[in-house]
Amino acid sequence: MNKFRVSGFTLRVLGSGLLLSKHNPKRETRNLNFASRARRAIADERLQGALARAMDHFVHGREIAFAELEDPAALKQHGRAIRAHTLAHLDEYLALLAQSVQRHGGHVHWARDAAEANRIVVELARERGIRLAVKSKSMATEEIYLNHALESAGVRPVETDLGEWIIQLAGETPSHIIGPALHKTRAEVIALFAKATGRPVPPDAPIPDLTRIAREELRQHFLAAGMGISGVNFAVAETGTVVIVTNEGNGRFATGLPPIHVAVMGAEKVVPTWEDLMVLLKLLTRSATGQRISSYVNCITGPRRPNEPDGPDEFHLVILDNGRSDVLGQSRFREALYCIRCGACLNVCPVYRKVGGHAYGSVYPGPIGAVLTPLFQGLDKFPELPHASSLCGACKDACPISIDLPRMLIDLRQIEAEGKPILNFRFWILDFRLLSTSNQRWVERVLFRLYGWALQYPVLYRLGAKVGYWVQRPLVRDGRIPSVPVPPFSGWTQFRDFPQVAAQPFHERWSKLEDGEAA
Amino acid sequence: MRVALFISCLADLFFPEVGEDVVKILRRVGLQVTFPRNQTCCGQPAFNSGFKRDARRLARHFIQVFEDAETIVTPSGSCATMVRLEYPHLFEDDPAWQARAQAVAARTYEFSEFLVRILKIEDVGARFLGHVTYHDACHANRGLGIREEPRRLLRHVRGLELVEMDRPDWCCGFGGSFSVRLPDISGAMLDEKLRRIKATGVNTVITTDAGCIMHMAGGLRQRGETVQVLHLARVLAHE
Amino acid sequence: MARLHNYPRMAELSTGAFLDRIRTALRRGDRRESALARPGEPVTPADARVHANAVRARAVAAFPVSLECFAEKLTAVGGKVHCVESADQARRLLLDLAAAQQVGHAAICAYPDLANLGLEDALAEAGITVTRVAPSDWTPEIRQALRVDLVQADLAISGADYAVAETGTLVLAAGSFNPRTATALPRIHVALVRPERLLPTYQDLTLLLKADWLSDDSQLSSSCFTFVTGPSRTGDIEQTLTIGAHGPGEMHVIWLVYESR
Repeated sequence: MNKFRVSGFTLRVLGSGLLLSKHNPKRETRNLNFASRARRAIADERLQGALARAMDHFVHGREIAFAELEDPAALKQHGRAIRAHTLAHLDEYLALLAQSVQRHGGHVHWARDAAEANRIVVELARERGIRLAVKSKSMATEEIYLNHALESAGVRPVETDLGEWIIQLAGETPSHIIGPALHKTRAEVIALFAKATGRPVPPDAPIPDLTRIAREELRQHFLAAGMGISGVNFAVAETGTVVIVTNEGNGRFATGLPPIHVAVMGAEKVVPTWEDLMVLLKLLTRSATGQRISSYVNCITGPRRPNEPDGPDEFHLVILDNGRSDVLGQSRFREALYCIRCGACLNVCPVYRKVGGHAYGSVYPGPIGAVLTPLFQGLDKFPELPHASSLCGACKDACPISIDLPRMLIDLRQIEAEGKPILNFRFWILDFRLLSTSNQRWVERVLFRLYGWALQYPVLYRLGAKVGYWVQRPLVRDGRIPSVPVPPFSGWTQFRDFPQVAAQPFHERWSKLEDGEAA
Repeated sequence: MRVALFISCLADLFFPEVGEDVVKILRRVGLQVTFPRNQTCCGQPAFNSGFKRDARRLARHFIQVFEDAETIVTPSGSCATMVRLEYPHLFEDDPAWQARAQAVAARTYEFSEFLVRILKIEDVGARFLGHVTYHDACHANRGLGIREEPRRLLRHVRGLELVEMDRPDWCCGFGGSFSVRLPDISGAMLDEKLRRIKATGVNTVITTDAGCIMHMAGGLRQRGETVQVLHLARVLAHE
Repeated sequence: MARLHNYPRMAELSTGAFLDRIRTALRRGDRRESALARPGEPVTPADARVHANAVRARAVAAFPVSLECFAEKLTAVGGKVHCVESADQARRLLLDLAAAQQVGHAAICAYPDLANLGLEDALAEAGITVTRVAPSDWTPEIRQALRVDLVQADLAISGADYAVAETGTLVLAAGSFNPRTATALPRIHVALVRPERLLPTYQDLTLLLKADWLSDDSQLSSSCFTFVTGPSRTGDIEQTLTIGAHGPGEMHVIWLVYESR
């Protein structure tokens, strides 16, 4: 990977894929590792407060929403069956989707990777002389850094979801899949809005006033924009309908007011039928925000019909691969594509709750991000993420599709640990590069090999117990070990004591117990 | 009925009294307990860190040691999860070993699960004075669905009052090598757990996994708290 | 292998490199998984047409129960639900709402269901500017003029194509008299709905949409079906629920219950 700095622009040449980026804060923090970003987040009291409040809010909402269902387990199972079936027939459903979109007058574009997707959108704007594009919230466009591509091409993208707009003004990336700005305080928003509008905002402005400022400011953009860009929550294959779920209503404007609507979807977002859509929609809104349904669900099929007074003249659907077909081919990771991006796994993840989204250094944070990011972008670039979990399993429980995230995290750890190559088709070339194994991992590997070998022999195990007892003795104070001076245990004892190895482990006490039985 | 005890390496080395209490209780309810001497570790630490080859090696050892046992009981939810849920997967490419793994997996139980689900015993005649709270160990809870079993056993202990903490099923932050690899995050999770425990005002926390005990007890002691963390068996053995 | 029933065979479609990669990946993946059967048979459009009348009849019979459910669900998310016993009452309610909210300009989407209510005259008499959206020859000039009007309106009045009791939702199909942003731009949205529009569940809605889809040469009749449930809302700043983000801050549904007799 080559990296040049050219007057504020960072050019990264990755394989044959070219990404142009201008002020991307994520890139700046990527040099730090996950552990130190996490440490910084944990020390940030304000962030801790915001995270606890937001997470509890989401978790509580989801629990209430599911509790009122007659049979939540059956609904989840149904949702999972739909996703499994769809992904197993992805080629057929995508073909059907494309055909249906075209039948209703829409255009379909296939993008193998981020660069292709960006080029498609940029070209559509350039051909029509469009200078301003409004966007409704979309993780797929975050994934491909579409805003940077548009800006580089002279098109100004304006995010219109309140949270997305706030982080766009702040020059940041979303810290949560559905609550992108949950780490921002009201005071920060006031400062950002004052700067964006060029008008003073009172320092005690209540939140409804701030929302009104956003409404007024962004409405001008909706009316002036030449292009509306949206993501896709679901795309119904049988009718070619893209479904966009919002609460604020920005989705209705971004897709309905500008003369051209471009929807960008990950290839896995297709659903076969309307029946399937209704099941997944029910799961999505309940899992994401605890709502029975969001305020607005737009089901869009092609451009404006001749008899309709408004709506776009053109509808374009960009279907994105960007590593998905590669994941699809790996049986043990295919499940990761079942994700419907509700964010429930983030909210219950005890690690996410402590470190927030930015610590992950990836577009998708939390447990699903720790799985998807290495799969999409290469485990070699994100070797730490699969370890960002205590494997407590709360994510799998909360997931409306019951995606087995802990198992996939372990599988990713295995690939990294055992140094097997992960197929990486991402940048047009077959990339069989062996994963770099960091030094710590190498030491770990030796230790685990030793452990795995030695513990097959009970004699060595018992000897180890004895040695352990003698080695720890100098450190024992008052029946406990308050501090171990050698890493990695020094990290452990920074936060908790270490118990002492018993002078007489259970296996030594057994003979006495056995005698007890005999007696 | 004869029961083979798998003590688990953590309990063996750090909490041997848990093993003694398990034996005491199982005998009290009329069972014969054996302790296959060659047992070591189930291999979960290697498995969770991604070292499946090493985990497989220890799994084979475990299977050989316990294959002849009629029933295997362990006072560790995470070891029981490892044997029951993960062993069969570990040998996916090896049908002969997979069959052996499945056979052993089907006969392995966590201690409280064994008492309540298999023996249908909820009252083991214990007496323990005090207010306690119960922490759901992640693997026992989400892996094996053990939620009610320990609570039922506790409710039958004379003199004991169970006070539920807020979110008893949230991870204490141990996670095996996770707590060593990312001690700060693990420590922050522990903080939250201990806050919830303190809010109940109890003086005893009960759980079913040596890892959680080691983690929570270590944290409490370092913070100078007097709250004690006990394995379920320790309370149930109390007369 | 589980087949997609009734759908055109995929092999005839132009495929391209994109789908080839997916096919290759599926072949590489687990075969057992690839054979996954469809979870439940979807209703075909043809079946839907047969069932549609039954759905409508059932919905009418279930109206009182459905209405209660609808009101509970919509009220829970901040929508307002009213029932009126006559056209006169509907007009008065609408005028009261307009007066309370100091409405100066109203846009009426001329749903046929509203034809006999005399809303326009009543509003105009109250001194309110009325923009009536009726089927028209939507040339770019006329569309632009309409847009200017819609942007200025304080109140949007519409009917609804369907309502779903399960979640307290209105379903609005964009059409010749219903611009898809007309009910989103003003700060208040009032929908007047006839009882027969209310369906108990989304399953019913799906059946009717499919019936409609088949009757029109496999074309959905509208480019945009919007499900509206309550006012626009956001929680993006400090998780504080705020009503009235981009869309209307008030949403009312007036049930013309007298029409059910």
